Amino acid sequence: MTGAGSPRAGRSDSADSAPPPRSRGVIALDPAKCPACMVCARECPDWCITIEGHTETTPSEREGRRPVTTTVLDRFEIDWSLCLYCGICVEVCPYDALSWQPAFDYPASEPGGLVHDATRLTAWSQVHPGN
Amino acid sequence: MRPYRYAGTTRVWLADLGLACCAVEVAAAATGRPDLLRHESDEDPEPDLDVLLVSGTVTDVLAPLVARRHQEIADRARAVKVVSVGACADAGGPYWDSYAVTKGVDQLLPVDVWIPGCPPRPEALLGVLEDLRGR
Amino acid sequence: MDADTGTDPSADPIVDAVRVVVPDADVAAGPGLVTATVVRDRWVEAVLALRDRPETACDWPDFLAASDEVPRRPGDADGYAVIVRLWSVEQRHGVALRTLVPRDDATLPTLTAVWPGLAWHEREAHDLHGITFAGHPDLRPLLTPDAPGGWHPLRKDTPLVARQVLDWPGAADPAGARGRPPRPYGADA
Repeated sequence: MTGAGSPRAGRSDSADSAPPPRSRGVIALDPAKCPACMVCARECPDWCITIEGHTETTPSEREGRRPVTTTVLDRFEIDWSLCLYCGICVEVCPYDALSWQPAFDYPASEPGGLVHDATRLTAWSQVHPGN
Repeated sequence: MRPYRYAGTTRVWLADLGLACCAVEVAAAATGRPDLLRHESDEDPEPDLDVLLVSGTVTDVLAPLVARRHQEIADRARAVKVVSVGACADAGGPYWDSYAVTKGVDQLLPVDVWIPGCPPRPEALLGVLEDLRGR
Repeated sequence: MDADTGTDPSADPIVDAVRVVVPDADVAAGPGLVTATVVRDRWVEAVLALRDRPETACDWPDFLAASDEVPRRPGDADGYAVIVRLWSVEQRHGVALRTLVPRDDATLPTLTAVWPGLAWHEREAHDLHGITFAGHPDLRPLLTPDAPGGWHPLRKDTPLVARQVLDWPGAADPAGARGRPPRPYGADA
């Protein structure tokens, strides 16, 4: 217990407000694992995941082979003002690019502030590493 | 609507419009940490901070009452902070496609803070009170 | 056989009692709920018989509600179903009485003369499914806005506007995949 008046009260990284392990606080993205396959966005019952990407074609390293086409993730957003924390996106992700993280302290003070882009979603995995 | 003293110093009037299950988390926040948030005598005349919590699903039928309650507090208080607690009050949440639900209480009131969660943890509300106190 | 209780629901004594009291009803026994379906013209009569005959003595109306029945297979019900669940306080048994009203003539005699307390339930069914209960004292909208021409959100042909005005995020196709992903309800455009 940090006690009354702790400057860190109500923060997920403070000793007196730390959530239990495996709490469903926020969903973190590992962009290196996400090939923009759209499975999570299509399964989301609240339509709160937005994904954009494009394909890139590079010549094969081996002579005579067809060029290699890969999908590149350009944009990944979750709107926390709509999310019902059901976890379907985490469950269905075939690439394990999404994971539950316990952090809960991300209120917004302006409209649209609960829409997290890929950078913010990626940073969540660093808040409570090892969860 | 009840007066509280936050962290032993700030006098906070908390008015909770508990419209759905998020109100349970608000109750947990208001009573679970008496070291942080302590209920004061009801006569406290001069709060430092008036906070209107909208916790739960705002339906279109109830929306005028929510707006009226806010107006009543705004008429009396010097300044009132509006906190939208949970996904339903934020933007409709799981009821984003409902025929009956207002898609965010910010369509009715000037919201100062949106708390995410379905529901939010009680600690998330305490963290917001901490932030509001510092402003 | 009910998997939960290991009993045969059709052996429930209320099943035979309902068949005696409302001989023209189509009685179906499921786990925990016996349903009797009658034609619309027999609605009030069936309710009175289930209430007044000693075999059933269903003197307490639990609830009344409606449901939009969309047929999935040939022979399925098509129309608006109205269900009133009746319970016998004395005998501790109950039956859900059901009838079907056609979509183009969604009217049914009111039960408010039998139980005034059902006025609220019928008013709600009128709100949500647009069923007109003939003889009801006050069918003003209870939960829905008073829209001109009526607005009945639980009719399945009433669109969920949010799903129509918002673009479905799942429609994006970054990989340029062939084919079209199955769309959720409302994202058909």
